[in-house]
Amino acid sequence: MSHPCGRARRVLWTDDGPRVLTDELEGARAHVTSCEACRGFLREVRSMRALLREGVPRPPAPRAVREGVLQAVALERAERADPSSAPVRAGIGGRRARGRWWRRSGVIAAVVVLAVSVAYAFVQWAGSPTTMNGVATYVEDHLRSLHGGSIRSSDPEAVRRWLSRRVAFAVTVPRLPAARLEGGRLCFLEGREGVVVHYRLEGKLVSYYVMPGGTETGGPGADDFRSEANRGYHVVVWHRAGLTYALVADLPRARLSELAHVCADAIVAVRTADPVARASRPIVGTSRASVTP
Amino acid sequence: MRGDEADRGSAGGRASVTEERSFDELLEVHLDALWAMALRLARGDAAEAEDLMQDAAVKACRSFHDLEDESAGRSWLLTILSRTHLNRARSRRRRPERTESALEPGALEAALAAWNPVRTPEDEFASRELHRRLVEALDALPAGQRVVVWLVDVEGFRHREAARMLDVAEGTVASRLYRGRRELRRLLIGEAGGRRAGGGEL
Repeated sequence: MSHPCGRARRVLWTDDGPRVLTDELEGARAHVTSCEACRGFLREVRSMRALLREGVPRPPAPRAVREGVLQAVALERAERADPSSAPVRAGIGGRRARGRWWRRSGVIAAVVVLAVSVAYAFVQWAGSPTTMNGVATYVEDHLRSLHGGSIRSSDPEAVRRWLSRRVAFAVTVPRLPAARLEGGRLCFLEGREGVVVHYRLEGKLVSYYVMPGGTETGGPGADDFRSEANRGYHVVVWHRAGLTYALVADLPRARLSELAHVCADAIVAVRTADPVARASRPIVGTSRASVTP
Repeated sequence: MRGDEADRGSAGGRASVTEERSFDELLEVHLDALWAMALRLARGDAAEAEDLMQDAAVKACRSFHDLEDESAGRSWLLTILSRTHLNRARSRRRRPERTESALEPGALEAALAAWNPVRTPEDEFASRELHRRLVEALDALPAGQRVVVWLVDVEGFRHREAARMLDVAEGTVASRLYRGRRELRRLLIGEAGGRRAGGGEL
């Protein structure tokens, strides 16, 4: 084997496709026509390229990955739009933490779908005429996720402040026993802007929704918590003082019901301690009732 | 207050909303290509690939205004993904990789000349649980070689384009490609095939 072979191969192995004809290229081609080894070399190179191009699996990005990437971009935009929230995010690990957070975006996406179901169940339950278009609602919430931003923090006060600045009602972020607060975001359901707070409990995502509107049903002692199951998830919905609350998780019904009561108690405690909030939004029907089976 | 904010958003943010939409569309179109590459760069670790994708997407979002020609969006996104991966690999140092010098043209020619082709490469490659071994072989390459092999052999970019994307000399691309292909061949055909096929050690 000689260097003429090496020269010809160096010229010819780089690219297929049209090329400007130079003396070097012409000489290399002429060499190859008379050199079996170089023809074999080029065959092998093309064969390997074809194998790589056609043989390497190229699976499409899973939905969870797509959502996670879009959410990361949305978070970046939210940070740019509201730099004041950046220190909170940076304080919990910056970008890598965000990666871990949004890695669970498949679950979040599932919860969004469930949220639509929750809203639908609420409309049915309240006896109101429904105008819900499931697809439109999903898109609305997706858009809200893209543009509304979110916060990741285990500090309830930081999450509360961040959410409260963005909605027209007071937000309470309860401490759930044994659950780790992960953050919160805006949500957009049925044309209404609300918030959702995420916790991690026993490795499972727990979503706590607070939406404006909702009819106060039942007085003290009445069954004002409603529990339903949907696609393997349990949902507890209740109303207080013009707000609708929902808790969604892949947890046993009784466990989720306990958590809902903790949330309701926390709301009452905050309002009792805050005379302004109590005066502006009096609590009606604060009794805890049994969960509707 | 909220009304004021909304007004500011609608008055001053129209161009940026358009830009955001364009970026989202570009990203959406090329997400599968990015994912396929990220998955291989991360050696099949889906979580690592997703982190890499997110990092690259955020960087792309920040510098979208620098993209003058959206028809070059694919190479632009893959460039950001490649560089992000190489930067992460350098800073992490969990898998220290040998520093590779680019081959001088004479040395590259000598190495190529010493490459004895197998008789029927299609048969040699095709009969050996191809998909699994291809993936394993790719994953075994050092990061620098893997990126070049992906860009040139899988994505089909020319050497010159790959060099520009990675901000390295064409000779560096050629060297990495040579070493990457040589290693792939050894892994795919096996030690016996590798010895029979030849290829000088450099």
